[in-house]
Amino acid sequence: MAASSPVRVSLDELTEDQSGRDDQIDADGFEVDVGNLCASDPRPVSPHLLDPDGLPSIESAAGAAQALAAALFSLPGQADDHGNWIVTLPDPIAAIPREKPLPTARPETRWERFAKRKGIKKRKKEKRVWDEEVGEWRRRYGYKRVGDARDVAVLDAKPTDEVGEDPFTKMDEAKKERVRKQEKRMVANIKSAAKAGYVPNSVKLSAKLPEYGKGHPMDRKQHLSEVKSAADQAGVSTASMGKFDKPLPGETEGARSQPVKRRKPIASGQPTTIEVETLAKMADRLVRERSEDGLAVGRAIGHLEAAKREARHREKVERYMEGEEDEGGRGGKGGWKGKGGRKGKQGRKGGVGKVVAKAGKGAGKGRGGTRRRKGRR
Amino acid sequence: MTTDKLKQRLQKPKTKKGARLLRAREPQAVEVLKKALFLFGHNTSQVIKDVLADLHKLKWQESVKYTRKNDDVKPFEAGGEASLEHFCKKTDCGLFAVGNHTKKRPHNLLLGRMYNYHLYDMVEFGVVGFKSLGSFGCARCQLGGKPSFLFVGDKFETVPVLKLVKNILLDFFRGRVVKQLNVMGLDRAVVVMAAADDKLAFVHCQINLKKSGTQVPQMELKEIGPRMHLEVRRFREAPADLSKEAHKRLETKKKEKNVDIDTLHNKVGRVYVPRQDVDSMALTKPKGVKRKQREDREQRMGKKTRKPSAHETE
Repeated sequence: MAASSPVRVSLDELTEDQSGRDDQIDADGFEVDVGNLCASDPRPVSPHLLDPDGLPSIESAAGAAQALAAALFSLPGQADDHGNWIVTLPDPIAAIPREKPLPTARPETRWERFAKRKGIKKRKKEKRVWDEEVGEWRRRYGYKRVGDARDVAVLDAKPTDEVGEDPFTKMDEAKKERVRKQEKRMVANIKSAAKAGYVPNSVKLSAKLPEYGKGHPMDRKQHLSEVKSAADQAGVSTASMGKFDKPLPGETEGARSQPVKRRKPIASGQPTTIEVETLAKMADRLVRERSEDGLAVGRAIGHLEAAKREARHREKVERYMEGEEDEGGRGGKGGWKGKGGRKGKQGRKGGVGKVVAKAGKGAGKGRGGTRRRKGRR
Repeated sequence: MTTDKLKQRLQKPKTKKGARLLRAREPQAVEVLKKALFLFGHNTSQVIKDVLADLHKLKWQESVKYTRKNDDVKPFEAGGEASLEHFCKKTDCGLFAVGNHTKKRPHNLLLGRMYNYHLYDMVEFGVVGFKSLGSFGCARCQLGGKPSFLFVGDKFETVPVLKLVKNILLDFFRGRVVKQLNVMGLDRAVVVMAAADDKLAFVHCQINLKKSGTQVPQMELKEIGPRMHLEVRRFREAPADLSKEAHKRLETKKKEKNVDIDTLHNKVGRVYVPRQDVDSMALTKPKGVKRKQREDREQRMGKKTRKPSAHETE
């Protein structure tokens, strides 16, 4: 594109009115780069055009300006609807570097290679398809689509179906599996394209941990920190609080110890008001916890929460029993370990061997500290 | 915890608008617009603040201006360009202008470019004598239009720094690359004049097109500001290999000539044969002529003629 040399426009070609200082013009002419709307005057600046600072004044640019005008108005153009004269600019001459590297072509995906080899060509599909059964035009994909296998009241049982299986659920799961496999293939395509050097802006690959049963996949940092804190806690849960345990390779001494909660000491020099306040607070709390009259709000809340939790647990267990398919495999095993706050009788359901409900320890204040998200170990 | 293999997940933009933005930031075959990033160094002066503000106005809607001072923007130092590169990547800017003020380099203006979000080249100026846009009064030209450029002085061809300066200024202020232009809309000019190797005058003017006797109107320049007298300080040219890569152009596919597909889906081409003068060409001669020639030659040489064959008649 930057092939042609700068256009030399001699002042003689211009009209008479502009030149003003015809005594300084030499035969050289100006360099006009119309594509960039740029004109250069390659002659040294004449001294009589310098201002007191030693710099040229804008009169010295008059010649170049006129050269540019001449070049512009001689370009091929046409009038537009509003009567403006639109010219077509040629390619710029001055080579201006790019901001970003040249785009690389996207490498072929696995399917594209296969299709090319087999000679499979893409066919344009219409958005609307005639649905014979319903007798109207339906869309090909999406809501109320043609031939939606789920959109029937009854599904005929096949000889291969097992008793007690829900075919609709099976279809949903099969679809989920297909989608999961497709995403895997897409990721593989992107990875192989990245290997070949094609990394588009609009797609990123992120590391994701496998989903344990239900719940949201956690990001790696969070998972590792939780594992570490669990390991630390386990390490400290010995009779001597992990004091005499040998540290693991790579672990520093005392890394496992939990910070000891210290109360602010009541210093002797402090004003007595602080001491009085601290002790009063402590006394209030004790009295509150042990009072028998008056409503124990915390306890009441705990009761209610426990009841709700039981109800939810029961529902989930029922659903688990019906949909025997292993959703991720880990939902059944560890997720139902009962923690404090569940009454023993309500927690047990006959025949659910995998659920371990602890005998009721009484509804305490919900153990906020050990609350965990659903579905995790 | 079990050592499950970490799976990878496709992260696509959550909104169509986000997807469009990301796609716009991908490399394009033909680059049309370069945005500029204006920011300050670790110390500023009122002059340099005004300079950046005015340049930001000249690049209306095609630039981003940061307001805070940045201690770690020191592009001439090794490793000092990391912060700048990060900002340019965030804002998707290919041009930058850093304003700084130190005792050693007062009112320092650094104009530079990026290639692939890495430092490409830059020139440092000292602003000596600045008149802001506001001090000139009302101007008739519109923001956002393409300016024309006028470079006055032979120094732009001879001095390497000034060649770089010319290129950078062109890149900085030329705006969107267009194919078609409304000539009457050309209302401003960036005039850069060089009298000495390191002294420039940067003057921003309004163009008034006056009637002349011919089709080409008279170009009248009227200064509207900002006006800066610049002293070239340091500069850094692009490394040769990077420069080569940055100047690459997309190869336009050449149309394959003389290839046609006929109605029976055969690939056909034409063979063009030049005019041949058969009479004067050195072709193989018929047998009889050869025989005659041989006999004539032998007779001339006086050699023994061989036995006449069955065809020959004496």
